[in-house]
Amino acid sequence: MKPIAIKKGITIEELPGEIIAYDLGSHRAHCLNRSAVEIWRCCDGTMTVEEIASRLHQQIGLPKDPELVRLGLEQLKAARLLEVESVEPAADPPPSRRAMSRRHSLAAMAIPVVTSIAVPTAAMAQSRRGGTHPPQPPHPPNPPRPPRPHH
Amino acid sequence: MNELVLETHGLRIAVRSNSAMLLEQLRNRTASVAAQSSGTPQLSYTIEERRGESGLSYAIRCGTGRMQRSTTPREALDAVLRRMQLHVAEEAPDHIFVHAGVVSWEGKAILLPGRTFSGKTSLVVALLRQGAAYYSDEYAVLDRCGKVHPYARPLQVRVAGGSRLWTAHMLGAEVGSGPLDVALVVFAKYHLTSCWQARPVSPGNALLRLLANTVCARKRPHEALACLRLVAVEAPAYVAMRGDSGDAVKPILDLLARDSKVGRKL
Repeated sequence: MKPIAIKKGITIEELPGEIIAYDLGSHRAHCLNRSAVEIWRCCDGTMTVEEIASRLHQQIGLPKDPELVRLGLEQLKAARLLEVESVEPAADPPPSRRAMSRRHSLAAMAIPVVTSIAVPTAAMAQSRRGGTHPPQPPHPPNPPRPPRPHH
Repeated sequence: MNELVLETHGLRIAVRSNSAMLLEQLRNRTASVAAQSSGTPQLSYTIEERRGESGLSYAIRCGTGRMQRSTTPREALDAVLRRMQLHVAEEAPDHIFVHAGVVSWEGKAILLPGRTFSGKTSLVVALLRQGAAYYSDEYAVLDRCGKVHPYARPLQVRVAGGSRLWTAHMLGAEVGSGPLDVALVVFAKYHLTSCWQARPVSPGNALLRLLANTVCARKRPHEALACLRLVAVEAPAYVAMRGDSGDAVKPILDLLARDSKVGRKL
């Protein structure tokens, strides 16, 4: 199967080596590290998992391992950044990031990672007052001090 | 009904009340973040003081809709202020409001993002005691260039059974005056038994965490992302576990010193 990325309704903010993909429909935001970004970019419906693995090997020097790609695809699928039908259901769950890191002696940063959050509504983000005890009641104010020199 | 129109961050809000005392208190509470205005308001609140058999009560409305009833003037004022703040934080046309404590240290801004009860204010108080200048205990107000502006409302310090309002001057601290570049972002989580532990996070991860604390993130995602990107790319960011806020001050300033070479040892 040839995975297809979902790009409609997704707004992208590019950072050095990462991107933030914001799903305007579900209001979920995802941070893709470099490997995950490269996999996602390859998902144009023309490449198989093996071909994507070769492309990643050429472009960013990742080991030519389809399992590494599947690990990224699983995360992208969970983040709803891939057309579900375009991804072959895995017979076995892909190896963990740690296992993959050990297998190829890769730095953790080289393993594809997609981190997701549900973007809060304004009310959810709003601070409340009172209610429960504070995490740590501070001491009462000190007497006023002479002003510090301005820096 | 008496009316007070406040203007802040490009928005005008009217508060009407039959209690002149309440409006006076409101004016005092908002003096550091809003100016009085004579313009046409875009939103209005009403606080009606009512005398009943069980004493005074306060009916609060937003526009023509009913909002809530309070039994004390302080509660009524807090409720209106909370809603006003939220409205401004979500609708301010030229700024992005992120839930965060903010102080400046030697002209560099430190952002301490966090939701309610994450201990933002106690960390801000601890930094002010060591000589930092006060910017906010509630919102990092970011402009389109990613600079942070003061939102120096009185610090709302939680104490057993409620909260108290302190000014920065009561803590011997100065209030910041102008916009600053963000030099450090620390996502510090409080735990009673924790010792300080911090690890750096990537710009993307920092942006995601900032977004989770941004009031207008859903309403204006493009603007929020563009603004937060500037902060995330420019300022080093750390995730930290902390115990006592006083114990977190030195490590935070050490991070600032390490990353910007301008900090100083306590």
